[in-house]
Amino acid sequence: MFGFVYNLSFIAIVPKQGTSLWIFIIGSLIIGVLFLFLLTRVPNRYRKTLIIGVTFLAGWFYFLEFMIPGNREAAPIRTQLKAAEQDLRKVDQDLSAVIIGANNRSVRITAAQRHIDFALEDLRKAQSLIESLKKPTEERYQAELKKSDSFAEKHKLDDKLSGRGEDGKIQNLQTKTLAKTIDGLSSAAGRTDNAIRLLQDVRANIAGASDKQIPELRGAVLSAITQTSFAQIEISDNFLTPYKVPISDILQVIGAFTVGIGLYSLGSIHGKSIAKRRPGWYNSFAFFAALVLMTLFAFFKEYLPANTDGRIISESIYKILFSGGLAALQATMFSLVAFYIVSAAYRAFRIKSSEAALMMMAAFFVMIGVVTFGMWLTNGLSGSLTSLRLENIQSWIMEVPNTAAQRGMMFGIGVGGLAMALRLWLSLERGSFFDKQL
Amino acid sequence: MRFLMNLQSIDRRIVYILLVIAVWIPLRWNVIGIDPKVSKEVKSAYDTIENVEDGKIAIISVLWGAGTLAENRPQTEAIARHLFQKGVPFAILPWDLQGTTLAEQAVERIAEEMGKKEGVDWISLGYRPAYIDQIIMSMAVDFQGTFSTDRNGIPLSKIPMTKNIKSVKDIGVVMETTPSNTIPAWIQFLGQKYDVPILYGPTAVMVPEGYNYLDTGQIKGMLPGMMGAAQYEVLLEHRGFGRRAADALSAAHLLIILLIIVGNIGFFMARTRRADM
Repeated sequence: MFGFVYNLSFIAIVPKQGTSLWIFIIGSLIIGVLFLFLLTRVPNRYRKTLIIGVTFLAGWFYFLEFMIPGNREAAPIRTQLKAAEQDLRKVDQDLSAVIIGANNRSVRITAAQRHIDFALEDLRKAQSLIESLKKPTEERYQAELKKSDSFAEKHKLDDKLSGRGEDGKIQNLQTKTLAKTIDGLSSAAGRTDNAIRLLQDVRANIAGASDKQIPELRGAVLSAITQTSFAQIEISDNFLTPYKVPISDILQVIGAFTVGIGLYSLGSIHGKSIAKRRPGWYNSFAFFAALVLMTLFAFFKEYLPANTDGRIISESIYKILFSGGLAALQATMFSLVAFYIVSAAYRAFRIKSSEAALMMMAAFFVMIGVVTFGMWLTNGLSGSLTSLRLENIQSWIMEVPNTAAQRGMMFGIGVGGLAMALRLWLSLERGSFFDKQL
Repeated sequence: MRFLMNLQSIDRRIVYILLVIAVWIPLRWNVIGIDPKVSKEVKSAYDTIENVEDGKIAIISVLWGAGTLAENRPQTEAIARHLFQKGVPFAILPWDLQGTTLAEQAVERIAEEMGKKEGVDWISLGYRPAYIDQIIMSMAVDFQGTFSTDRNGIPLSKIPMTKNIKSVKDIGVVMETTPSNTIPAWIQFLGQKYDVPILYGPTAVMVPEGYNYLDTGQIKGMLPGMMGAAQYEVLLEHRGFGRRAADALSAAHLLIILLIIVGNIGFFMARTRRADM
């Protein structure tokens, strides 16, 4: 039943032209307006509950999807991969100690060899578990395909309605989920295989490796860690993961509704302004004129028959309205910021303290070092003076002090964001949102 | 003395005119013509695209509109040109109503110039209204289920370049061109989780934040503002808007520096005079 409901989404193929297009547009509009109307009819005392409920459920879905581990059958595989990853991290620590010149080099190398052996053993076990899980999953997939086929035949569903793809297989939620699980297992097997090959290479060379070769071997171990880590992700899908797609579809529809609500709100405000001849009412008129013209010509240029006069004229007018009007106006608005920035920098940037002087020096090096003229100015510096080239000083400022400061701020913002996210999710926020508007 | 003191209060209209001249002359006559040096973050972005595996597609995420067109469009064009050169098919994924048309127009122009075909070498997935996080999460699981059709309403399963694109495993690289702080979404839900290389094309004001992600390896490369696009054009050996506008940017930066110096001379003169009195 679930599959049948999900398959209904395949019916919504947007017609491109003709009567069916207009029926589609009008039908969608009626459904949308009806839905909005129903929302406005919700009594005030239930609105808060409705918002809290929807917000909480939506957040709960993503929270659970993130927290719940993947399917139980794959749990032993993940355990083996996790164990291998932990052993490899120990190898990394041993090799790092050798690189920085620890006294007990031979002890560290021996320990690294031992941990590589453990990791290889875990990875091989994981590989055989993956193979043993893949076979029954494939059998279940085939059985599910058969079941879907007989369902489609019984209800006489055509290809669109049954969600049958070009390969003849029905792609409903169950078959898609199983196909993805098989795909994930194959990828995990591939990644495990890569990690084993990398480690076998490291194991063969580690005993006689020179100090120069150790960093290369460590690089291979790090790659093996990445492969092992991603192999775990490949099989981490849980029963909620497939629902991410329909949820995303719903969110896109809600997003489209917000555009409609925005239009309604603008129309209402500007409509009243014109009706009551408020000061500046002609600006409101310009809004309606722009809205109607852009909408009409955007439709005509898209849906009138190709190579007709109407289509060609519509395309030209749309181009004038979009590129010559809207885009040019917005670009102009934004470019005004440049004038204000120059004027503000000139007026406000005064060296009144040592901190201001430091900031000005940093600004000078960043501004001059990032442009071609600055690069050209110190182009002659070479050898040991290369680091004094303006672009290199600029690069150092951006990569070292800037990154340190930014990271500090991001930590703070992250903690604040977490608190804010919790407040939003649990609808604990106060203020006009709940206290006045609803 | 009075003249020097007056340097701290030049009429703003004069400042505006100076800025217009500083930007307009290099753009109009290309009087300087110096090419930028390629920074390591731009070279790294270039190398990432060079190393995209066969059979995978690239995604150019477009979050910009006309307001930041001067910075984000050259970035989008440079990346699209490189992908065309390299033969990596790509999908434009626009999140901005204006950006949809602007990016599509830009790519259509380059495709025509390089003889590339829509559906074979590139597609546009059409405007997607907001909810970036959720759509990224969804496309990672099921690409065709999330987008269904391209901008022309053709099912992705029927388009040559996307018929075999099922999930995140078939995505070779993602380029985010944006004036907003949207890069964390790509890093969290695609880069970190599925090991997909992420490239970043921010406007200049967003660049400082990008260095954090570069440092941690969470993004593989960055095109910092318009200069990033200009550097990328140097690598592509193509002279586009980025390289042409690089001199205008130089002139504008020099003007700001000069004005700040001049303003401070006036400020010090006034302070010295007050101290003398």
